Amino acid sequence: MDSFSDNVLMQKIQGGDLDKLGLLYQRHKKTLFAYFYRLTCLVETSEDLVQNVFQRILIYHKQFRNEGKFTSWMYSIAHNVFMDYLRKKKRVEYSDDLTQWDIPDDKNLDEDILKKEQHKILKNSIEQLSQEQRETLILSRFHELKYREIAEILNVSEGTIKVRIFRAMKNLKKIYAKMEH
Amino acid sequence: MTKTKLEEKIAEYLNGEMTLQQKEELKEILKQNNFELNELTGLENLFKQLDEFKVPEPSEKMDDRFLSMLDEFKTKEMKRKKKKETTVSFFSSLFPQKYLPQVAYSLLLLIIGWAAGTWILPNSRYEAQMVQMSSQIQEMRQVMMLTMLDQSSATGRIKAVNITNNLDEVDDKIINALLYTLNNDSNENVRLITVEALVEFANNPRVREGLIQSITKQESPLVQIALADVMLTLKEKKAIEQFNLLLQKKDLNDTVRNRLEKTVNVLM
Repeated sequence: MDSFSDNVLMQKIQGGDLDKLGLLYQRHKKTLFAYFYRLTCLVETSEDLVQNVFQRILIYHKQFRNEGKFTSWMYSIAHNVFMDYLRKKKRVEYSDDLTQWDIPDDKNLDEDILKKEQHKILKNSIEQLSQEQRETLILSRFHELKYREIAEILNVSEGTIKVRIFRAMKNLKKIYAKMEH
Repeated sequence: MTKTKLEEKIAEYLNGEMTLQQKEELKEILKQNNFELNELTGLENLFKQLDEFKVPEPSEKMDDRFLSMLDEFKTKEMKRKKKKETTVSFFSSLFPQKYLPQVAYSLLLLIIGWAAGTWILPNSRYEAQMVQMSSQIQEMRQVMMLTMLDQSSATGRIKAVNITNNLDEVDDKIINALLYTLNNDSNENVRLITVEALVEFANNPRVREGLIQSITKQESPLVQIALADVMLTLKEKKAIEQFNLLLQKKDLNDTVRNRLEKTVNVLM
């Protein structure tokens, strides 16, 4: 096993070397932030949620079983953190601030405006999906996780995840087409 | 193929979890099930388009907050461990594992004595009960003191010697144990505290004699001076002979030598 693999770092944390959490944080902070940002579209909230995930990792580090993949465990914590956030918030407030969107520089103004418009439609379409479909789609599309891993994180069967992805995509296509016209 | 199975297959296709051959096979099945291939291509394109859902970079504030959170957790953890260790060592020094049966037995005796005094004996014998209970407490303290004197840690032995402060009377067992500690304990502080403890029972001739005999057995300057002071307080002339023997030692500490000479002069 790689001496700096996630699992080895977790073993060291479990052995009392808590500073190793810093390495795991550096390695995963961006992807976790992206996960929350895609779910909420709120920068500060996403940063808070990332913080909550690492806090829970610290508190519950002894519960991590080294046979499993660290990222699966981390995303299951992230999922729980997000669910708690939803419960508190009831309804996620999506930000309409387009300045937060990372749009590649483009000298052609028309094309730039068009891209921004497409982004807005895409973002709004994703927002229309149910929380379950949205989260499953985000984990699959942006976090390079296999359906089996997503199933483990969300605690459902692999078949359920696949069906959820298909239906999410079908819904998304319908909503996107409607918004585009 | 069922509708659900077909949906699962399409999901696999979209996520790139299929080989080329499997993809072709799926397209065939879709055709047979009247599923528009354009629909599949549309989904595939949209799936790819999701890549454009870009996210901003998290701020540096997030790093700062993480580091403070980690530091805070480490500090709490350290305090928690320290507190745990202190509590454990305090109790283990008071009641080491191997002496637990004796301590438990002593406590049991105490409880039985108290229970007997409270419920079994009639009220008219209250004073007698109190005396009995007091003697049982004394007995328990003596047992505890003797068991604790065997501890490996000096702190534990000091605590044991200090128990004698609460004893009104001491029997031969306790005196022997204290004298043995005074003459043989490897720790200077334990020996010093034992001198103080023994002085409390200086009316007992055995204790007085034991203190005198200990003078030549001590090698620590601090204990030698402590014994000199005790002998002065007790005005014990019998100690002169022992001090003279000690003064004959060539390697005797100069300060000790001066103090002993003065002590001898006063006692004479």
